[in-house]
Amino acid sequence: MKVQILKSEKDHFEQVAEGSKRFEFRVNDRDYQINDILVLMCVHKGKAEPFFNGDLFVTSVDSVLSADEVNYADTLKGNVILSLSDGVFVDGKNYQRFYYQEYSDRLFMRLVSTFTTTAHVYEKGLILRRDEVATPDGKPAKTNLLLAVNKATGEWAILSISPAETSYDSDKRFNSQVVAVVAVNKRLSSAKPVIVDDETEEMKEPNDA
Amino acid sequence: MKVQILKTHNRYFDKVVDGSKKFEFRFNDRDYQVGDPLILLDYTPDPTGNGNGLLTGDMFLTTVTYMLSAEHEQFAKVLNDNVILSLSDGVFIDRNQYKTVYCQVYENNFYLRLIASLAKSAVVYKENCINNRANHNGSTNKPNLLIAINNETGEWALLSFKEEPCIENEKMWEKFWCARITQVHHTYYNAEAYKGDMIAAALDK
Repeated sequence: MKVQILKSEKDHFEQVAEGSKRFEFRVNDRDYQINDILVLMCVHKGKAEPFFNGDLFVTSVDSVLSADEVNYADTLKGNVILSLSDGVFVDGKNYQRFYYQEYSDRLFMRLVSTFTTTAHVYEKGLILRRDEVATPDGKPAKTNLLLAVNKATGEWAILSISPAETSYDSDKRFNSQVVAVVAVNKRLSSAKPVIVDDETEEMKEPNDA
Repeated sequence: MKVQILKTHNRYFDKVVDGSKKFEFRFNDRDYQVGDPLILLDYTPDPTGNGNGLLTGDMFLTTVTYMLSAEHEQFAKVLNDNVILSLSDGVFIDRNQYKTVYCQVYENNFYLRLIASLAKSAVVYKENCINNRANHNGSTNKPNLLIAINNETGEWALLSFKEEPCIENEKMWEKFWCARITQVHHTYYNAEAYKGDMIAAALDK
């Protein structure tokens, strides 16, 4: 399970965001797998609008059709078609920074049920920053968003977290206060249970356990 | 708008039904369009590769909501004569739950009356039978299903009906049923189709 950050041209992005296009057709240069999380970034090639306006669409890969399949070796040659799960549109005007962080099954559950209101977020998890972009009313957006991922199942949630710390601690992380759960994707039907040992944090397949 | 009836290999059919595959990748020999209703037929190929394979009778009813083809310039070289169709939410038709399945296209006005149950009966041509399981055990007690298609919007509905001969047209008995609608199971509403003049046009009639 990986997070794939992809540029998506505005025409296609809008079709995906409104739900009429439920697939992505891509060159298979990233080893896409079922349950990978896709962060589609809306990009605009014309000069009238900014190249990147911050709009995002977060979704999961439900199934993959590639040249590995019988009968598709010739027609798909190095390309894949990814089937997309129901996703979440994130308006570029409404956030300042967008983070990504994986959590163990237990912590993820606590986070989305808001039993735990504090979570560690690492500096390297910062995917996008829009600090310099002002909202229509002239003030910068205050909200930071966190894409929290359940390492065990591939489930994910988008959380609204407190404004960014100006500095990270010695482990290059900061404590974020969870303000709200913006969206949680449904439990993936095809998610294979992977047993995670919380102490060692090593991933094990059920058969090896 | 054209109804497309397609055989779908069992291993992909199951994925479409459980919702993990929301697209169809096809050779574009049928001039597919956005808004076309699709009837996918579950298909198991002959294991020896020589025979015709087997239609299990399971079906999935859905609609094309988006299409990627060689007409998109940047994909012309990789897609060639193939298309990728994006599928709407659909309906699974279980082979054990029906006796026959018919597919019939109706005009907008009549279609709307049908699903509003204002029209209790509809003409169904026997040649539009997609699958007949009358010879299977236990199927005689099962309902006949009608996939009704709106010829203007491409919307569809899944209905149950009772077969009744048409009394006024005795000579035509052999060609069609006066289907008495017993239940409306599912309807697909296409908001796109109602953009623009569609509503005004309907009101004029």
